[in-house]
Amino acid sequence: MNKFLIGLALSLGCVAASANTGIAFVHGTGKQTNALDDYWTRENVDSIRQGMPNTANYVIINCDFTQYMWNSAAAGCLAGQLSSFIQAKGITDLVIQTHSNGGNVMRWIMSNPTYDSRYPGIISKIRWVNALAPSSAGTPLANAVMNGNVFEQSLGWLVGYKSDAVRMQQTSWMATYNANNLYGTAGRPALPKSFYSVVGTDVDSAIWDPDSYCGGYFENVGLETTQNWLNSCSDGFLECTSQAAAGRVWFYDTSRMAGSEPLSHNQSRRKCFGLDVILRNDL
Amino acid sequence: MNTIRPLVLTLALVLASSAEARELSLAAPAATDLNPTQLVSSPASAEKASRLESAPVQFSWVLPADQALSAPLPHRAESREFWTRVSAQELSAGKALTTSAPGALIRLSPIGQAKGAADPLQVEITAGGKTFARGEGLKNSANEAELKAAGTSFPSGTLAFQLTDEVGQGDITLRLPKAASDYLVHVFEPNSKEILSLQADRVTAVHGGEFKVLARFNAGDTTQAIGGFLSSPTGEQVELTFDRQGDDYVAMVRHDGLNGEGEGLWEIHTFASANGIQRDAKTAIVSSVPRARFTGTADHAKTRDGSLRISIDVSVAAASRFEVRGVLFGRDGKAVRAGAMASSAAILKPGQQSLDLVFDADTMAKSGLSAPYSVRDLTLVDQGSLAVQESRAAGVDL
Repeated sequence: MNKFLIGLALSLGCVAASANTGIAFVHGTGKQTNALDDYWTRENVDSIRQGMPNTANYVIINCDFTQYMWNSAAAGCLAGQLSSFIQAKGITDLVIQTHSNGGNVMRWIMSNPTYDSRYPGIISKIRWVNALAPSSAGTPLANAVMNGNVFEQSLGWLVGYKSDAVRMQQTSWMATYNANNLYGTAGRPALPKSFYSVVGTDVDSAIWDPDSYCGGYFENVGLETTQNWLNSCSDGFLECTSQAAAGRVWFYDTSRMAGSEPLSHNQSRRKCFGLDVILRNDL
Repeated sequence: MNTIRPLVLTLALVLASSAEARELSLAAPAATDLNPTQLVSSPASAEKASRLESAPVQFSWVLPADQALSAPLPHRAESREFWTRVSAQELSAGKALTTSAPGALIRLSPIGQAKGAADPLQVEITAGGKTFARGEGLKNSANEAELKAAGTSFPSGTLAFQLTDEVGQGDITLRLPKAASDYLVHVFEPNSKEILSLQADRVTAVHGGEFKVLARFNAGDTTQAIGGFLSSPTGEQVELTFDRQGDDYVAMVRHDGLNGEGEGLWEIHTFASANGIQRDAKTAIVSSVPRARFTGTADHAKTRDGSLRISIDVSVAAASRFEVRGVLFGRDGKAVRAGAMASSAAILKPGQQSLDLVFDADTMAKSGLSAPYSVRDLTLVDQGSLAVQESRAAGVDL
């Protein structure tokens, strides 16, 4: 059944059950204290939440996603903030919107429902997860960042030179966690709730192209370089295969963005090329 | 105190759970199952144990009718890259490198306290008798700030660039005349056909057991040199010695999972050179220190509310939070398919214990399955280490 039909069925059911819809924004790698301004941008969030009957039913997650996904500062913090939001607002129908590594932390919760007694209550309220450019199969860039460390790894590892989240997003690590501790990838059991990915396929950073400036020109220049570490289909940080590795692909950027623009890894968390409107209408 | 209500509730629970209860045996372990022969009674770190959930938790959910399941396979890493540490003196004079394809990406990261940022205009490349200077021969260069803005966290002072097609391939000399510190030089050749593959022969290495590391250069080329090591999450290293076996180079590892036990995965690093080209590869493996295992017996009851409970017996040598998970198979018309998943976890103390895997009534109703049932891919996990303790693909027939 495609997302539209599921949504239609749910919306009909929701009307009957008077669902109280909410949305949670789950950031990617990093320790956030003001993800609204620093990660998602206010204009983006304000646009997306217009799709709910009660526009106040939203929460911006601020956790330490430099840690391993299962860590109390990562998934534990996320579970705490989601539980508080659900309880405070009486949410019965929760749409989760993740970006990048936020998809892995969310997938940890849904794959390991008995790891924490708060997880089942959260999962039961989730309608679905919209995973924007999720790093489901890791990235060769994390390999590059970590691998050089082999020459000074004992020192580097002991002093915490690199974040555990970067270590975890190496391709070999994510392959192992997908085989062992996470669900939703090929050949593994499905997640308890749907996980829909939005895949970014390219980076535009031409100085004469105004599209290169959405999400920040400087950021897109860096992504243009890092893209060389990746295969031909990537958003500058993640290969398309990684973004599409878990759950189901909702859409590839160029098929839905205004002007068939691609979404770089920074643009998929910003108000670029009509993505906010698609996410708003999804509510 | 009103004692009638609790009595009624107890009676109702007994009646509800008493239907169809019977003892079962798990299918015998298959060769591909993870089946520890000996348990370790020393507990994992107390600090880690203190962070574990204390309440028992059970959960089940419906799987889609077209759910396809396959046994997890170990990751196969493929490398078109290598790293080398170069002294400031050597880099100032010119470091000789060999590439196997045009368009190599080179990253220079300063090591140590002197974190001088390299400028692309200072980089000199000599190839085929021609010297490229002042940025010639390079494209797509990015400094640390630009790389950081892209979400990567390379060391301070890092410079990355790609060699232009004019530079070509083969022997080149990389020179940074004003190099002020030692550098890590990372060469990645996205267009190269010289590939070092690396994989372990399993996803999980069991403490006290053996596993193989398999390395292959291209389709089985002979290497001039090959070596490597296994590293633990705490940085302990075990050297790997490779022997040629067919097209592969194979290292046997007797795994000591206690020496270096910590959070995260173990890594296998391998360095090889063949055809004059250097390659470094890395992959990961789970380390399992078995502190619990299935006893081989279970108890099964279908309650009158429609839920299905399977009590799995577990022998525990060291306390931790253990989880059992399994996939419910049953009949859908004439076909047998997977229809639901369940997980149950609790803190278990040493001794004979059990975990109740419960497929709740709603899950059972929505699974679309009917009897006879079986629970397959029965897996026991230590939630303290996140390592599988034991797995039985055939599980148990109900």
